[in-house]
Amino acid sequence: MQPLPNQTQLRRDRSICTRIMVVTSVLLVGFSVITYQLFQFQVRQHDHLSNLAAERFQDVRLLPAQRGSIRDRSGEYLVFDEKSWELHTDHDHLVQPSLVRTHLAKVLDVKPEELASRMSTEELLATYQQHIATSLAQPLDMEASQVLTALQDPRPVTVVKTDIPAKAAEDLESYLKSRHIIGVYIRPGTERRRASQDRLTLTLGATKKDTGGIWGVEQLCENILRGTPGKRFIEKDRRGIELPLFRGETIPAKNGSDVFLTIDMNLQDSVEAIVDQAYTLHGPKSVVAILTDPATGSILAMACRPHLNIEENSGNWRNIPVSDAYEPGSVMKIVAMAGALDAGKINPHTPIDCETGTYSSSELGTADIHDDEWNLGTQPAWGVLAHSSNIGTYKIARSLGWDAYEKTLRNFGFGTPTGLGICKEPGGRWQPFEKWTAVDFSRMSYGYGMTATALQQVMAYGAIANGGVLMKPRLIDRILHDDGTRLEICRPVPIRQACTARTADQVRFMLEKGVTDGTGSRAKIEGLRVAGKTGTRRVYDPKTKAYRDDQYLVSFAGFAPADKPRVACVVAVDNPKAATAKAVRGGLIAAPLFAELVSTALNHLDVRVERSEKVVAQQPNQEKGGSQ
Amino acid sequence: MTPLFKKLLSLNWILILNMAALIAFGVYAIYNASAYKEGAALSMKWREQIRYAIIGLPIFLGASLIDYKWIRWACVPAYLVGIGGLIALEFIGIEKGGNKAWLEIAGQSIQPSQVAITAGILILAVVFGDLPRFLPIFRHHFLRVIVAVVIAGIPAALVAKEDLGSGLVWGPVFLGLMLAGSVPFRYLIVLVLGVLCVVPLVYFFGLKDYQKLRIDTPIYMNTDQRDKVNMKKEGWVPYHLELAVGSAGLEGKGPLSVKAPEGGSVHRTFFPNESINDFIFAVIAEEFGFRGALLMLSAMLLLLLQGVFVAYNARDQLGRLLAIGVVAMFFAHTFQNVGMNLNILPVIGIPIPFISYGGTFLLVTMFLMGMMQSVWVHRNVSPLKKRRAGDDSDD
Repeated sequence: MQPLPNQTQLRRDRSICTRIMVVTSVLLVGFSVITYQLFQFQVRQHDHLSNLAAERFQDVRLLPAQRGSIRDRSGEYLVFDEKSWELHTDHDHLVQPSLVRTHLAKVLDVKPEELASRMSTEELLATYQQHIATSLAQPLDMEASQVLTALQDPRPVTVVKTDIPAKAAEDLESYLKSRHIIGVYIRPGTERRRASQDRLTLTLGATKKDTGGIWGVEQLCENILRGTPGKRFIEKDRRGIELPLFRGETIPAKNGSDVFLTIDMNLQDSVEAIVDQAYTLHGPKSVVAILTDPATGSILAMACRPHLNIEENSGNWRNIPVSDAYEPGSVMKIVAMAGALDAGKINPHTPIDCETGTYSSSELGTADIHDDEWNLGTQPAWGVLAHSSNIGTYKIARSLGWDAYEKTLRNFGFGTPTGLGICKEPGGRWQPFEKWTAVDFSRMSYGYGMTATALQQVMAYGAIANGGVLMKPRLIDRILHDDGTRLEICRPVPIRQACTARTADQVRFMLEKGVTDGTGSRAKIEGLRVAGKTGTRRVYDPKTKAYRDDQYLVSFAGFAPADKPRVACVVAVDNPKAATAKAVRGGLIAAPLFAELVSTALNHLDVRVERSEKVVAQQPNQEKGGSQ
Repeated sequence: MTPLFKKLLSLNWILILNMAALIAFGVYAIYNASAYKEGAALSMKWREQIRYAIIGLPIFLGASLIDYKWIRWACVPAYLVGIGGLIALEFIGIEKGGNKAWLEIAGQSIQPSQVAITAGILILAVVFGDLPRFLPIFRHHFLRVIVAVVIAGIPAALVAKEDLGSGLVWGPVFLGLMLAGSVPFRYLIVLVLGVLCVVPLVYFFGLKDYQKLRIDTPIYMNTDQRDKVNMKKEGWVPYHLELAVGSAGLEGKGPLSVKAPEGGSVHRTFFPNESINDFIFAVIAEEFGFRGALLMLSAMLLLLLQGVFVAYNARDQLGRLLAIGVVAMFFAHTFQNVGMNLNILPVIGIPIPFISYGGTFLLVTMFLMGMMQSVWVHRNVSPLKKRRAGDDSDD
């Protein structure tokens, strides 16, 4: 048995005890830290890290979806995807030293081991990239430095060149192989093509590679056209190279749907031709024409000059019929008429005193109202519209009252964008109601002091033609889903009853009178009843801050056949050139254009022309017709 | 009963069983980490480990049964051999995996750095424990520490030049020996502070960029700054170690990754080459889960605590220093390796005692365990007993 320690031994041992305790503490603390971290990883973060690890074994390859086509009413392709090839880089392969070394060794015709001792990794990669750049510059028709920039891009995949035709792609592929190039590959891609470079350019829109549609229908229907890219899950090894044995599930790509427009491309071509002819003939600032089907609000054709040629990138970048609001002039007179008829203030035959060309009143101060036609005298209400009397219209509007007039304006869709959605669209504007003066009101009643787009006007005339129901403009007719197996019809959307059907009928009668007995006589079409209204609006000169007497915007709005409307049309010519200022009238320039457009459209729509004596009996007697 | 047999019986059998269990576990881990590979050279590593363990057995027993007092005269030649080996590395060293740390002698490749640190523990134990007894001038702590620093510094610097990890192990060993060597705490504190002052200088001026990155990576990864780590370069290994450990969970993916689909465990796919030595802990954690890893860590902690117990019961300062030196070295290896596998410490590969594959290292660790056993066996045997007259009961 050992003897009990004496005092000295105990004192000595105490020091040792302390040190042993320190060592033990260090051990325990060290192992605690390790255990804590182990617990963190294996218990607390287990789920998270498991998912990350699973991802590490898998890779998702995107299978691109084909973008849907845009087609016209009859199915003709307007914009479509065409298969092409593109050259892209794979950054992972370009910076893999072992992979690069073996290939560069083949290029320089040396052994890979020799290369390893001769160059550092950076030199190796740089030399190889230089080799690729110089090899590819010539066949790609690019600068070597451009290729090099793409190669050095740190993103996993960089597209070097797109739109390579199939034959060239094949050649390029074997060329890449012959030059021992890895990290640059060819893959199938698509190229967006349009059937025509200058038809409906701004309406159809355009796409960008990454973002999809950037304007027009391409943007409006982005979600429909785009489709869903498919996915293929693949297993890969530590270099990120696919293991073909471990191919996982595949979710096939869902191609985009085809969008059919309400536009009839044959009609569109004829309309373009007519508009183009008018543009050359009159040399105006712009010509606009829209044709719709009033019953559904469908846009059948829509053209303007100047327009955009996408290939030459020339022309104007505004989709004028939709995005330009202007003072409409006399075509707005139907609003006052419809409002007053609706309110029961007048009937089509109520006599209205149109004075003798000039009207002054205490409420208007010095701002007299003038008529283009002198000495109209007392006219029935239809005569006011037919002869386009500003004085008569103001009197009718005044009987209606300010707020009822504004309400009618809004009911016909003025003041708010139509919501077509293909471009930025103004709603048209006028003085806020609280600030109205009698002068403002008087001018607004015949279409000055307020703005509206051509589209808004055609929709308002469509409402009259459609028994008072204002329709939403309709551009998308139907959508063909799921590779052509499911058809979705885009139904017409009525917005509101703008006026009663009875009122609409009465306005229609008045408009018809305007063509048969009034300013719009040149809009007559043989064998058809046409309803319409001329507009001749003086051009405002911002320099003198006054309306000019020698420059006009002439327009014509209407529909045909009057009894069973099939097409509504607005045509406007801004500042046409003519021999005399008197020759610039809506009835002289716009009305014949309207007649040409509408008869063409009705031809396309197979509307039968009725040959009755009643229509033939009318003689044009308004040679100097027109309105202010 | 022969004295030798008596000694054999008085071995610390718990410690021996503990060591045997660790070696067995290590062999099993190596089997799991490499048996699936193609080619006998790679898939039979676990057999080689058994072979080394069998070779190590007589070394272990020899060291255990001989009184450790012999190291007083043997430490200097051993130390010189160690230094010689390190210098020889410069001329006839063989490079494996980027480190020129192997010598080939008689067809066996050995790591002189492991031999050197063993010799270093022996000579430092003598310097701290026995030198003052022979030369009273060394009772001045200051002188003792200076001599020890010089003695440890030379091989440590030589080792660190080729194999930073093994060089750094000298630090904890030195610190542990000073702790047990009755060097006053003020010296310890001054020395630790001095080292801490040098650390920033070394970091900013002594290390190469890739080494700095290795040190920064675990700091960033543990402090929610992963965006600063390039997961394709310096962050690749830590990230995949984390995935291997974390994806295993409580129960692990089973021996030989049976629960992983198609045997696609992380260690097999992403670091198959280093999995038997440096990243063996990640393999254990992935295959045996939290339970298996904790079991291994517990066994290792038990072994180290027994080492401390042996040190406490040592008959003299020399024995105590030997035991503490061995504990310090094993702890340094274990903590660095496991810490690296768990993203606590930078990726600087050194093996875990008894677990990692490595011939020289297994022999060295078994020898050191033998020294520890020797301290235990001879705790009640006076080194001077033999000279006593009339005493014939002992050898």
